[in-house]
Amino acid sequence: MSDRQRTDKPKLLRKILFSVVAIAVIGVIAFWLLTAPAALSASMLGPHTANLANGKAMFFAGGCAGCHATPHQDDPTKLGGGRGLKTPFGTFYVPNISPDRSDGIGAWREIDFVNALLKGVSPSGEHFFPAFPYTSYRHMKLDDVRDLFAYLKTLPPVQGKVRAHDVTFPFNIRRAVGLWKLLFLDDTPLKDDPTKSAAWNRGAYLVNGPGHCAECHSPRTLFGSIKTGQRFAGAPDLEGEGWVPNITQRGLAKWSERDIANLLAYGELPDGNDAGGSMVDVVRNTSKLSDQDRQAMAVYLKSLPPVDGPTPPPVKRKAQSAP
Amino acid sequence: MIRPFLVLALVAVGATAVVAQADVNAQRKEFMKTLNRYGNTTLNGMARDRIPYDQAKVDEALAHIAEAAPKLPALFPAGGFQGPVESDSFYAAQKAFENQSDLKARSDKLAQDVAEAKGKIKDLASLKAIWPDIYDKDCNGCHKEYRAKKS
Repeated sequence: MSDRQRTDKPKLLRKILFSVVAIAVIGVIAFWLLTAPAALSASMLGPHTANLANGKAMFFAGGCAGCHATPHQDDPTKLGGGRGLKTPFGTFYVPNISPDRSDGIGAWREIDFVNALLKGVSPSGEHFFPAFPYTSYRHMKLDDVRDLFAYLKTLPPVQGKVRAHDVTFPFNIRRAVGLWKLLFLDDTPLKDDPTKSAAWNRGAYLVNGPGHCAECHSPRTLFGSIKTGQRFAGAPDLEGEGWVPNITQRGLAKWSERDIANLLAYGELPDGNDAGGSMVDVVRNTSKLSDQDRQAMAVYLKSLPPVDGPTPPPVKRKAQSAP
Repeated sequence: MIRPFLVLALVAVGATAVVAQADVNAQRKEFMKTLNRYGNTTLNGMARDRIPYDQAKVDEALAHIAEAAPKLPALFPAGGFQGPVESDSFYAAQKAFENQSDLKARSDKLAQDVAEAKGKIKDLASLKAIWPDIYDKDCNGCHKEYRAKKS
């Protein structure tokens, strides 16, 4: 080997190493910038007189107690958290959102609550995992969120901090949720459709915003995002066993608006049966809404065009009795 | 010579077990259908102003539910899980067959609640005040945990 070749080799190696390091550093900086939690500033909150009746309605529309109520007791206003939500990414333990100052959200400012629901960002500026369905709550109107916060503060404080999530690496990297949000959260705000009735628009808001119905009723990708084009088309029940039905017109073709409103009021099914499983908790909340709001949700849901979703698993047996 | 008889005997035992198991499934379905008739169609029907209040029917419904409640746990024998079937849109979840103590606690509570309600439900107002809460806590409470939707 010549002298020239002997000196070029280490130089080349150094150049390669430098490029690799530079790319890595640029990559980390880009990742850091792209995944930065975007919080709203308190200065954007103008004066507002809380409407507690509306806050209470939002509490039931949002189904907060369904996840946040202390387990093994009947009072939906005791929001001590602690329930474990099993997902393919691990188990998330639902936090205490009672107004307790040290263990709940009693020390939160209003803007903290707004950022939690509309941006999925915590008061310390970190991303919340989307097991908390801000993916739907982000469509809520600012005034509704403020009223809800005011209502929550009237509920009893519950002591007890909830344990940390049991989520495996790499899904436990909060910062990475920023990338998830970039990739899967479409920023298009929910807008009224002027060609539709007031009831339809109210229903669209309640179903897609606080109601977060699509979060259970839609199939998900490997990344945990809702499969594009299959919203409301049904999915396996992650909470328990069985299936969460298709509530587009593929599933609800034989249901009238009245049938849908009855389901939301009482859990009744058109065949005289009652919904069971995960829907029980939903109906415990929707039954507390006004007739008008349930009717609005029914109008909207009845209007969903038929969409084919995933096929439920095949059934092995014909009937309960012996073959 | 003995072997075919042994095989036949074993098959007969196995078949009996299958038939007995299938019987429990059919019994459970019948049981729930009857509870639905009394607790839902009748009592909820009255509480939701769908059918007129009828004290005799109320008393009959409550009496039937009180009598039926203790029989519930036996309808979910260990190892009895069969999963969804073609004929029904709901099915008993696997954990229903693994939780006898919880089923017993729940059926005892239902029997107790209904026994307490018997003396107190005298008219539509008292029915509306008392029955929906029992329906939600006892019937829905169990269904939330143990009743799964097929599709």
